Amino acid sequence: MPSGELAIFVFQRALGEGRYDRGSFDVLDALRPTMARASLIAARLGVERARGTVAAMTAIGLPAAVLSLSGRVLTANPLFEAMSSVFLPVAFGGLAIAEPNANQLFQEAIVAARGEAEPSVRSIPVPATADRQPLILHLLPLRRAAHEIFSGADILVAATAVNASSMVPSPTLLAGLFDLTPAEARLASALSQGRTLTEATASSNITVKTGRSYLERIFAKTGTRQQSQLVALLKSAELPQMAKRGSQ
Amino acid sequence: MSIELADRVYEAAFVPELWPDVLEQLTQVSNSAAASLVLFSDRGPPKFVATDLIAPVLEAFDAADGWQRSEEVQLLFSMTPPAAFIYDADYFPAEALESNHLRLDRTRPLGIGGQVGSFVFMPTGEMALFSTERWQHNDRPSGDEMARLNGLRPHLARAGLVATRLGLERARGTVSAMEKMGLPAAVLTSTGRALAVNTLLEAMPAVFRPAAHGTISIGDAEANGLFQRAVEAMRRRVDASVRSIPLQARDDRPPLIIHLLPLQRSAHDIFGGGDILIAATALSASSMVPSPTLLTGLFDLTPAEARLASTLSQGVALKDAAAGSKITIKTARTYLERIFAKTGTRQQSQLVALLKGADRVPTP
Repeated sequence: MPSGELAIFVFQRALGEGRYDRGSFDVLDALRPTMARASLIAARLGVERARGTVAAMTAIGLPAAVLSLSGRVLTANPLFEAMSSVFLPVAFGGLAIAEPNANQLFQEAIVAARGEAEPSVRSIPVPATADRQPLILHLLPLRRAAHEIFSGADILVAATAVNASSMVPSPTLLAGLFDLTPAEARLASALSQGRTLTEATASSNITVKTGRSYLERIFAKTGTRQQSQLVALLKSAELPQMAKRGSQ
Repeated sequence: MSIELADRVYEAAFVPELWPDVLEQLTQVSNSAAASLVLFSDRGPPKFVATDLIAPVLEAFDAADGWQRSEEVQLLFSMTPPAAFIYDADYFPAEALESNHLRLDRTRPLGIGGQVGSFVFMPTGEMALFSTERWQHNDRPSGDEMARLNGLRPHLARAGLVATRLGLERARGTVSAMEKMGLPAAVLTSTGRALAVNTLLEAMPAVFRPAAHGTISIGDAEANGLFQRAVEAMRRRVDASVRSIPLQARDDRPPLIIHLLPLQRSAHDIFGGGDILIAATALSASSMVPSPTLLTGLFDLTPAEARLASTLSQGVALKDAAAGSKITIKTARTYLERIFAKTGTRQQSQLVALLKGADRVPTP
């Protein structure tokens, strides 16, 4: 296989049936190219399945890569490849994380996934640096059915941002979800970034007093009682993202 | 020659950009003017790839809605074609061929005569048509030319099946990964037919209802209107940006957002099928809370600080969080000051904004 794996087809006869004759060999030889091609296609489908997954992660805006259980990178999306200060290529097509503690957890997680019958999802914290926000790496095992011998078992690695202004729902969406007026929705959207009422009202050109009465109505319509609870509710609205969706 | 061409045909199943080259080789081995591959489905216009000479003809045919109006195409769908390449003059009534002005007005001036084509049925119900255009001066194909095309037919058919299967595998892999991320998701074709659906989405039958032709409808009339319009707009490539559709809370479920995301595909990938990713997010203050371990690693919080921060990220008031952790409010306030310092935040709602959703994927 181009992947370096070796596929062996074995045919056996029962005792007493005698040796394979020339005719049988000829039949098997004639089928060999078809079996070889079928094996190559089956193995290729596995890789393409992984590629489809990382492409979908690109559509969502998440840097993602699929690793084999041995830790080798099978495919990665452009968002992932752009994070060369975090993800370092190492020997034999493997991957390391630029932060030592995170890397240790990462390597341990890969080894552990190999040994588990039902591998679990793992999240690895990567603290901020001078020029990078904090990240979380998610390892999602994508184990396949036992009979799918050609596509193996892979691990999806995806990165999410830890950032107050990520995943903020648009005012239109908030209006639709909770029957907020456009003004209420604008305020709720600004507050969901964790800004103070003073800051949020200033940027909307309304008085703090007006802002307070909007906030009361927002609380009533969303079933919340304090700002941090409102933020906790609204911050679960969007899909996770690292970058503008659909960008390369 | 034929072994290499067969291999190239299978390669095209995985690398759709190779179809034009495969079609070009088809024209050469059969001494034809041009070749095309058209995929017909019962929903929406056909997709096609073609060599240079015939491509503009197919595009014009498509723009003039020729597929719907052509008697030949209608005949095609009413007859059971043999599993071989056939010369159109030997198969269709002469009147039907002569009356196909939409085609003939464009092909005759190019020196093109008849067609030699073969149908392949896809397990999805779609039908692929591989066809070569004959030169008028060499219209009827020779026995040799037919033999070469028919020798390739099994490979072409299998490549189409592999390519269709490939699209299905991609879709399944995607929704399965989304399931691991805790997101109900499905992959749809450009006409809204569901290619793959994960169990989280299937577990929401009140919201996502199976509808005609394998499509999905949303269990809320207004949201469904928005949804169907969004799918249609994506099919026509009008503003192919992300769409988010709000669903208000009901007794049995929290507020939801349905997200539609266009999936990039090669222009030549006519078999692949997966064009739209749909995913649902549910709004809940207490979901997607980062674990204390994660917070310790991210911000160097002590275990006690991390426990408090994790609770606060649900939007809980400080006094309630303190009571839950069995610490005094004074202690909690001290922890909070250190949490603010280590996370670079100044008030609770800002802390929640930072921490909430940081861990999109559910932790065990």
